[in-house]
Parts: sequence; structure tokens; C-alpha cells
Amino acid sequence: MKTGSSGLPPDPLRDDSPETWERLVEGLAPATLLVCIAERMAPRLRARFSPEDIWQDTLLQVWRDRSSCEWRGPAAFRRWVLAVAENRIRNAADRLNAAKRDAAAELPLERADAGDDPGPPPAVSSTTPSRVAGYREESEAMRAALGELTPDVREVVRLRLFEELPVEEVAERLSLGSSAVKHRFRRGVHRYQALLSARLASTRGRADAP
Amino acid sequence: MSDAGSGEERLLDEVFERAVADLQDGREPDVAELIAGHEHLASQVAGLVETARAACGRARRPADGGGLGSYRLLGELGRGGMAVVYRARQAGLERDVALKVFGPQGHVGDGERRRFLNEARALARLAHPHVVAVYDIHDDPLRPAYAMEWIRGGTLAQLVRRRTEARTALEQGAAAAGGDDRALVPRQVWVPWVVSVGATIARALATVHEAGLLHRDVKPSNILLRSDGTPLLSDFGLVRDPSASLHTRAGAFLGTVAFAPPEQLRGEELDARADVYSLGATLYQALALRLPLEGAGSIPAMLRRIEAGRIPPLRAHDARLPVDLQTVIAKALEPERGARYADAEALADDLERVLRLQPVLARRSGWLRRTARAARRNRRVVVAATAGALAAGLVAGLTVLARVERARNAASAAAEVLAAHAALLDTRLEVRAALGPRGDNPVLRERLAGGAERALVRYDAALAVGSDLSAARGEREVVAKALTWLRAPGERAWPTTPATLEGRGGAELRELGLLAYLTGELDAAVRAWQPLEALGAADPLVLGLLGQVYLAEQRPALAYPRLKVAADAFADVPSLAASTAHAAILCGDLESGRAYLERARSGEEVLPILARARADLTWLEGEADDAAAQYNALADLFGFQRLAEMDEARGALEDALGGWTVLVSMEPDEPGHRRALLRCARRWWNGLEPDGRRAWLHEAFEGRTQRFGTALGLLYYVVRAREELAAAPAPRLPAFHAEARDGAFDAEVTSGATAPGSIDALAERMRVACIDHGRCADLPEELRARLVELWLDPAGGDEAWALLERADAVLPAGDSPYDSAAEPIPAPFVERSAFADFDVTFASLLTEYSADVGDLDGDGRPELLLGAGAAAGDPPRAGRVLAVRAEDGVPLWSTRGAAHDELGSAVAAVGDVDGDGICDWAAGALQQELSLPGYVRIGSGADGGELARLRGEVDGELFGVAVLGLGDVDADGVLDLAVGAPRAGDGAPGPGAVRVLGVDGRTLYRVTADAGDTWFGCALAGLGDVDGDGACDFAVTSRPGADSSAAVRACSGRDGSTLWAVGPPAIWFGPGVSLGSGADVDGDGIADLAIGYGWLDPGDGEQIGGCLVVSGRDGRELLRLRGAPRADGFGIDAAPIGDVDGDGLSEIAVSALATRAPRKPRVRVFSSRGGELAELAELVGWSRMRSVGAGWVALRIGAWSRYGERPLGGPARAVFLK
Repeated sequence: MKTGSSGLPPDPLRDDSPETWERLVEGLAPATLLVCIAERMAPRLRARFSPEDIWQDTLLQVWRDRSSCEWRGPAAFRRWVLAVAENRIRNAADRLNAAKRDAAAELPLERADAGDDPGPPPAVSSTTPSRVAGYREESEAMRAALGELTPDVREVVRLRLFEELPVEEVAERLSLGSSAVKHRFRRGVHRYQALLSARLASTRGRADAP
Repeated sequence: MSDAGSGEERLLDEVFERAVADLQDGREPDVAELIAGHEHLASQVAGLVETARAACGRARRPADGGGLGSYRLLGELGRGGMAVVYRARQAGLERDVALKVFGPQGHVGDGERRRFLNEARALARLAHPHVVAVYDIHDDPLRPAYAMEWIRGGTLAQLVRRRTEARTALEQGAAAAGGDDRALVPRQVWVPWVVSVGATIARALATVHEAGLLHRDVKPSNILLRSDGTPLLSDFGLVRDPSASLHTRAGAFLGTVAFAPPEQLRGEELDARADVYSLGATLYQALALRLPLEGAGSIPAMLRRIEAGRIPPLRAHDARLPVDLQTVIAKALEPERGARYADAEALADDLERVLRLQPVLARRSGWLRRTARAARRNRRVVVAATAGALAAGLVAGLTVLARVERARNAASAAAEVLAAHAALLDTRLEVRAALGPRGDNPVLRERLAGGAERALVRYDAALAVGSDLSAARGEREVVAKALTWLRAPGERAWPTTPATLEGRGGAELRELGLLAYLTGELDAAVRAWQPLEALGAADPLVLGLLGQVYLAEQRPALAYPRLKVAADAFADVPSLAASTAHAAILCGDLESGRAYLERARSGEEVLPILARARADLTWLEGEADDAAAQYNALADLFGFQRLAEMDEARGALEDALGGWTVLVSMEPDEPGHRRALLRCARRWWNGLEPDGRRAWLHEAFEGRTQRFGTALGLLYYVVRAREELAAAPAPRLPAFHAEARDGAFDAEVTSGATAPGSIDALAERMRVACIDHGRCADLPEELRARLVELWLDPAGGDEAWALLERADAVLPAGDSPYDSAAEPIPAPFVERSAFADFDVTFASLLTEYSADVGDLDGDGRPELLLGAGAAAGDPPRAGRVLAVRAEDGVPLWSTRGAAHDELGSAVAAVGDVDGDGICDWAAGALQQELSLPGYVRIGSGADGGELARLRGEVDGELFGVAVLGLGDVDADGVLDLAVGAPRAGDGAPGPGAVRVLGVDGRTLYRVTADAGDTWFGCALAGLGDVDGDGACDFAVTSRPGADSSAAVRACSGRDGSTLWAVGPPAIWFGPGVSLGSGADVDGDGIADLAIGYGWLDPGDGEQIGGCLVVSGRDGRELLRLRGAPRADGFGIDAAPIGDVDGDGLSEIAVSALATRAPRKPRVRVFSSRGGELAELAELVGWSRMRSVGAGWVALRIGAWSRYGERPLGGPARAVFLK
């Protein structure tokens, strides 16, 4: 079990303090996860739910199921969260299909609300609307920057930086050698970072303008 | 492009991949390890790690694990061109630091790194209290850094920005709605504070310069402020390469251009004077709230504007700033560095001179320099002017003439200022106790106003001819402000006086003191002026006024030396001469006293103070009879006091005692009288033989009620005087002056051991204030004789008390409440504020009330109305109604009734009567002469002014003992109210009633009690619309014990018909019943009613208070709450207070006014199901509890005085639900 330098307790999933939860959620890089979630959602689903809805729902589910997950470091935890998010996306898609059969129904997102667990500690700010709005803004800029990359590096950056797949797996998926993946990745991130900075600077500049 | 590239490229790919992998797994990449073996690529590797960190770090914030050596990064504080500053925690020490990390771009040249570290070391060696301390230097080849003190606070820039925004909002008229401006410190505090910050930072800069360093980037955001306001210089731009000119780095430097000296803009070599300029620009912005040169522009354009002297003088932005300050800042901002202060030390000196009101060394730029600058500004005009006036001699001649004229004007202005000071010094004070707090004394007020008016005329004359009169201008402002207050009709909000005087500049202290003096706040004046005096900065005006205060406080030893200085400087102020004469005489300097008397005589004819001084002189000269005649002729308290002193001096102690008793009763707040009474009583008692003492007590007893009462009164005064003197701090005075006697006496009182045979011990034994002397008069003679013997016996106190209790001759008051220490208020209640400055003494049980009236002054915070009906005092003071801000008791306005009115017997909000959009009010005003009917005043919520008056109709009708706003019940467009009118006064008896009438005085209907129920109408409570007819319904009650079939009746607001009634629950005892409503206890959507019975006797002899909570809908009993046994006064007041515990149902608060020892008055809070939630100790809900906004407020009307003489008094207190 790794403790790393993240300042987390040895088994953060067994520690219910709001601070630890906050740290865990922040450590997931929510904006990048929102990018991953958005990529996984079909356009039809995105017309009804926003990635933030799925993200909130995912967090609730993660909180409820935290005892079933063994802590094996931030990267493994992130993969598990992404898996949960995928399940929630599937659930939402199923409900959307069911709702189509019952046209009159107003479609709420089925909350993972079984049981008495009241949900994450209320003190957590990671899930406050303003914070989530911040993630959304950031993730939109990220998606846009990603979109501007040339196709040959875009997939590498997406898989390695956002999906956090190991180099070998990226190489396998894209039928490339691992040294090529590494090189494209370095180049791609450099470019992506420049595009993203410009984008964030312009959106924030607009937000600051009177 | 090839994908893999060369070997070096591959290596970099690998490094990047490892860095990302580490970061994704929550680890900090180990840069040293990544570089190992490839040192030649060190800077590129570092850059890659930064990129990886940025790509991942956008998600994984520094708080999640970035680290540098022994520092864990907690967050980014700021980022500049050359460095990033993080908040970091140092491992081991676990302290937070500001970590400045060099080279965010990852391109760290060796030279730059060395310079960065060298200068960090130099800074670390500085160790100056106003320079941010450098704790540690992290000599990392890739990321050199140093750790600085982490300052919790803000920057000067933030404060300047807030102030600027508030001013802009004000200019745009937006401030009317927002309250932001109120959060800012007043201007008269801000300006000296900025100057003192300037002086402090200038001194710090001087130290920096001495160490061979330059700051190069002084600006408001680089002046950090600790949370206590201490300024610190931070963020040295030391790493900037001196050879790199601004032009090459304009982008990185633009933000600071406004503070940069011209030589820095030109890219020249800098010296200490560059920092002087930047500090000058910083202070300019903080004072003018504008940059020296507004508007953007290229650096060359900026340079041209500076060189042409385009920086407007400071006072062009704010004419109230001192001229001296303008001169100092202008000198610091001279475009030519040779004309600036030579160093920061010189600037600091001049800034401090401004603070101390001393002449500054800086001079305005000379004629030649200003002309030259003007010429540069506009060459064409100058050329024309020069051509027109070629005769240079003429110019010179005009200049000389102008100089002579200026000198003449200056002399004349100075004379006018002195005349203004003389007028102020003529505002003499009288004996202290007569003044009352806050200039309440109308005579004194008038006198102060007269002096202020005369002074204003003189100030205006001075300002008309003179220039450079910043001090005089400030004084004039203060005097004008005081005059506005003194002349304001009625009572107005008090001019703001700051809570603390610490750290204020000399000029400000002087002005604050003057303001306090002129408005009668003498204590505050002394506090403000004392530090000024200690600095040797008090001028004759301040000394003279201080002397007047000390003399009024009867402290001639302190007064005389000060008055002497003032009287010698202002020889032609008669009242000053008279005061000085009196002080001299009291200090035994009879010869000087006579001389000053002579001088005073030549002025005004009759001054009371002159007569007093003369009489004192006569006595000191040994002419006692003459002196006594003169004292008698004075016919004032001073005369009485001297006569008592004379009696005491000649040994006529009983006469003296009579005199002192009268004086104490007339001026209960004068400690001198209490001291004298105690001294005299002890001397008299100690001089009596045992038989004499016995005889006195017997005689007093036999003289029946009145005489015994007088004796008890004397003993009571002894006890009170002793307690109060013990609580007061003893003055420290030189031993050879008259006051030293009192000081020594106080010390004796404080040390306190008194013999069992002393009069003090006798009074304690008798528990004088608890004896019902009326009942004592009826005791059998043998019992009285026994009592006297027991009282004289040091061990007989308890037995005597037991006898009195058995004989029922004890007042229903127990022992001291001081036995029980105040208990903390338990959660979830939080005491938000104390109405500390708000000393209203409430006296009568039926006459306290409060009402929430919403926001009266438009600041978004609700006000509360307080009625103080019958106030204590002899003669009783007129009743008052006050509006105070609910959350902290800050008074908004106050209005008084006429001399015999108990205005404020009840208060209620009635809605907007005068159409100004602010809720108006109604207040009952019973008459102290109870045979007269009371009235109800309708007043404006905005300023308390009277709008209408509704009168009672029948003699003996207590019209206005309760009032309740009902809204417009008959829908005729006129607001209506219910007024309780019991017939319990001294008039023809009859049943009590409630009149419902419009604010125009038209009676709509009357609800009348059953025959014989005189107290019907003594309390009212609103119920909301119970019967659904659109009109507010109400509940009315009678007094316990009244002959009535219904205890509480609910009436329809429309026509007064009975909706429901509740019968008396048991045999009623006690003085009163209260009604409280306004919140829903049973959840049916209708406000319920709490009926408090002060005492309730269930029949077993124990007196237990109670509270009955009934449904507002039908009177059904919801809850019955009982107090503790032993008459704890539970239920004296009760009200539903809204939901406290979150179950959606209202809780109920009940006051318990404990009447037996240990007396612990409290408010108890019960849930809607009857469980007790909290107990708020030391709170007397005597006044009604009302909800205010989200919380509720209970007013505590003071603690009990020790012997229950004054039932309640002291500051009110607000408690809010969190």
C-alpha cells in the first residue's frame, strides 16, 4: 500500500473525515474525469444529462461503495471511479430508453439513493455547484484544446493523460511502438498545454471583464 | 518529423513519461534522480517536469502533494515573471511559510541562481521587524528557493482597492444601498495610519539600503499587513538583473510602472532614491486613492508626463489632507532624484513630523523649478507670457510684494486661530457629577455650543486669509461636527468615537480629544490627550481643556499646572483665569490664586466659578463664617458640599452626615460624595459610646416608620458607598495634595477590614436593604428591643434576620446575586453583542417593552425598538423610546416623553403611517400621576419624530399600558391598533377595556371586560388571522386575581367579538401575567400563545411559576410548563420564539426571575414537546422576547443590585440564536 506524498492517510477509504474525502476527490482531477465522462456519453444521452450530473451521481455511488474498494493508490482509485462512472452512464442510458417507452414521464436521474447512508459529508466543497461549475469550465477548455491537436497525437494524449492508461496499453490500442507513444505524448502534451493555457486565459479574461 | 528522434530526444521522452507516471500515481517526481547521469540536460529536464506538473497538476493541485525539499506545497500564492510563491509547510517544524521558488520556466542560468541566493542570504541577515523574515534557503540546482515568514493578513493594495471601490460606488451613488463603506475605517483614522505605515516602511527601506540592497519594486501589493496591521516590506525584486532595462522587459514590468521612478523607466542605474520615489508613489495612491499618473501610456509617454510635473498635487484629490503631507509626498516624487529626499531615513523623519504636528523639513518646490516644469508642460504659453513681461525686475518686484502679503496674511490667520482657541477655552465646565454622560446637561451643552460657534467664526476668518493651515482646518472640521451634534434637536446618534486610541497619530488624537470634549465625553477626551501630553505635544489649548476637565473632576492637583500654562498663554480669557484661580487656591497657592482672581475679575462680571473660588479663598483665609455665607449664597451643590465639609471640619458630624446624605441622594454617581459620607459616618459612629449607639437605634425604632427608614437609609448608603468605592480604581496622586487624602481613604476602603463594632459591620448584619421598614413599625415593642440588641451584637445578625422573617418584616428579596458567577450561555445560543453603551435603567414591572420594527435606516439590518417607561431616579426621569440596531445595540435615535410621561410603557410596530416606506411605531405613555389618563404616541420609524397622539378618555385609565399594531382591520386605508386600557389607576373604578382605533384617532370598537375586572387589557398579543376574515386577531388578558371568568380572551380583529377564551388555570399569585405570540408551536399554521404566570399556586403552599401554551386557533392547551419551587418567578415573561431544534415547530422561551437566594435569573428554552433545550443564565426576559430576523433576541435588563433597592438596571443584552 502506498502513501505517496499526497498527504492522504494510509487507507483513505476507511477514513470518513470531510478533509480526506475532499483530498481524494480533488486528487481524481475532476476536470479530466469530466472530459472522460463526456467522451463516454452518447450525444442522445448528453442531450438529457450533463457530464456533471453523471459526475455527481458517480461520487455518491463511490461514497456508498467505498468500503468495497481496496486502496491501492490514487491511480487505481481513479480507474475504479471511472468504472463506476461508466456504470452510471449505462444506467442513465437504460433509463433513457425506458422513458422513451413511457413518453409522459419526466426523467429524473436515478440516484444511487438506496439505504440510509446520507451521502458524502456535507462539508465537502468538491461537489458544491460553484466548484462543479469550475470543473465544467476547465473540462470544456480541455476538450477544446484536445480537439485542436492533430489526430496522431490527440488519441495518445487522451488515452495517456486523461484515461491514464499505461504506455503499453496505449501502444497496443493504437498499434504503435511504445517509444513512438512516448515521443508523441511529450510533443502532444506540450502543444496541448499551450492551447489550454491560451484558452483558459481567454475565458478567465472574459469572466473578469466588467 | 521522425517520431522517436535522436538518443537525447528519446531520453527526454522517457523522462517526461516517468514524471507523468509519478504524478498520476500521487508521487512527486524526483528531479535529481531524473537528471542523474544527464546533468547537461538539467534545465530541459526541469522544464519537462514543470510541463508534466502543469498538465497533471491542473488536476492534482499543489495541495495534494507537491514538495520541495523539506517543504510540502499547500497552494500557490502568486506568480511573477521570475518566481512563483507557494504557501508551504516545513516538515519537522510544521510551520507554514511562503516559499519563493525561482525559475518557473525552468531556465535557470548559473549567474541568476547565484544572484538569487546571494540576495536571499543578504535578506536573511537583515532581520528587520518590518521586513518579511527569510527563514531558510533551499539551494537546489534546479529549483532554488527560499522560505519566508508566512503572513496572515493582507496587503496594503487590498485595502487601497477596497477603499477606492467604496469611493467610486459613493461617487456613483451606489453606496446608498450597500453597506460596504461602513466596513472601512473612517478617513481620519485611515490617513494617519497610512502615514505611519509610510514612516515604518521608509525606516525598513533605510535598513535595506544600509545593507547594500535595493528593493526596486516598492508598491502597495508589496507591503504586507499582519492581522494586527503591522506593515512588512516583502517581495524584493532583487533578482532583477540591474543591466536589464525596463524596455527589454516592459511586459513583465507593466504592472509596476506607475510606481517606478523616471530613472528606472529610462533604464538608468538606480540608487536608494528610486525606492524613495516608489514609496512616495505608494503613499500617494493610498492617500489620494488614485495613481500619481492615471491612464495607460507607453513608457516614453509616461516619462514625459512625470518630467513635465503632471502629477497632480495630493490635495487636488482630497483637499482635507494636510498641506505638510502634500509637501512631503511631492518631495518624494520629485522627477529629478537630486531634489528628492536624500535617503529613506529623511523621508521617514518627515512623515513622523507630520504625525507629530511638527514642521516638516521639506519645502514646496521653489518658484524657479515650478516655473520650469510649467514651461515644459506648455511651451507656447510660457513663450507668450515671457514676451509679454520682459521686464524681469517687475517679476521680481511682484514676487517680493506677494511674499510680504503672504507674511501679513499668515500673521493675521495665526491670530484668528488663537482667538478660536480662546473661544474654546472659554467653554468652562462645572462640577463633574452635574454633567451627566455625553453632555446630557442642557446648560453645559448650550455653553459648549456657544464656544464652538464663536470658535467657528474665528476659524473661518483664519482660513479666509491664511494658507497652509492644515491643523486649523482639521480643528474647524471637528468643531463644526461637534456643533452639529450639540445643536441637533432631540437625541441623535453619537458622533463616532473609535474604540481604541492605540497607534493613532498626534493630530488625530488631538482632534479626537477635541471632539470628545466638545460633546461632553470628558473621559474620552482625557484618554485621547494623555498620550499627546506624554509626548510633549500638547499645546496650551489642549492643556487648558485638560485642566478644565480635571478641575471639574475635583482634581485640582492635576488641573493647576495645566491651567497655569494655558492661562499664561491666553491671558484674556476670564473663565480660564477663574478656573486657574480656583485650582491654585485648592492647591494652596493662595497668592497666585488671588492674582488670577484679579485677572478674571477684569473680564466677565459674574461667573459661578469665580464666586466659588472666592468662597474657597475666604475659607482658606480663616473666615469660616464669611465663607459659609458665601457658600449658602451660591445655593448649588458645590455650596452644599462645602457646607458639609465645613460641618465636618468643625466636628458637627451629625449635621455633616445629613448634608452628605442629601448630596449622595442628589448626585448618586459622584464618588466624592460617597467617600465623604462613608468617612463621616465612620467618624460619627466611632465617636459614639456603646450606649449612644444603642440609644440611636432605639430612638430610630421608636420614631416609627419615617425615622427608622431614615436610619436604614443612612446604613444602606454606608453599605453602597463601601461597595462602590471598593469596586472603583483608586486614583494615584501625589501625597501632598488634597486629593491624596481621598486616595489614601480609598485604599483603606479597598483593603476593607472593618471591626465588628463598626457602622459598616452593623449595616451588613442588619441587611438593611431587605428590611421592610413599614412592617417593622408594627412589631411589638419587646421584639424591637430584642432586635436592637441582636443587631448590636456582632454574632446576632442571623438570629435577628430569623426574627424578622418570622414577623414577615422582610422584603421579598434574598441575598446577593453576586454569589453566583455568571454562567456561560450554552450552545446553540450565542451572545452576539452587548448593548454596552446603552445604559437605560428600567424600573417598573409593567413598563418595559420592545418591538421589532424591521430595518429603519436602510442598512439591511433590522432595528429594535425599546421602551423605557418609568425610569429610576428622583425625580423619575421621563420615559424614552429608543431605536437600536438589533444585532449590536448601536443606537439610531431616541425620543423622550414630557416630564411626567412614562413614554415607552409599551411599544409596538404599526406599519408605515407617514408613507416614507419605513415602519412607524406606537408607544404607550402612562402618567406618573396615575389619576391622569395615559396616551399613545405614534412616531416615525425614520427619526423618532411624533406623528400623532391618541389620548385616553377617562381618569384613572391606564391607556397605553399595552399597544399592538393590527394593520388596517377595517380596510379604510388608515392603519389601526389595539390599545389596552385597564381601569386600575387612581380614578373611578370600572372594568378595563381594549380600544381598537385608527392612527387618526377614530375609535372602531371597544372590547370591555366583565364588571369588576379592572385589569383587563394589561397585556395584548397578536394572533394573525385566526378566523380567516382578513383582519389580524388578537389576545387580551387581565391580571391574576382579577374577578374575571376568563383569563385570556381571543378577539376578532374585525369587530372585537370573542373567538375563544381560556379560564384561569388555578389560584393566581404574583404581580403579572404576560402574553407572547408570533410562532407556531403545534404546526397548524397559526401562531400560538404563551401565557406566562409569574407565580402559580397549585394549592400546596409552594409558589411555582408557570407557563401555559395554548393553540392560537381555539385556545386548546398545548403545553403546561412549570418552574422550580421556591418562587423562582418562572413565567414572568414567555413567548414562542420560532424553531430552534429544527423540527419545524416553535420552541418556547420562559423567563425565570428568581426572587430567593441564590438568585439566578435566567431564560429557559423548551421544545414544542416540553423538553428543556437550554438555559440562558443571567438573562432576565423582563423585556419581551422577540424574534429578529432569523434568530431571536432577549433583552437582559441588567443584574439585580445587591439589596434589591433598584429592581433592575444596567446594560441590555441581545442573545441571538445561531
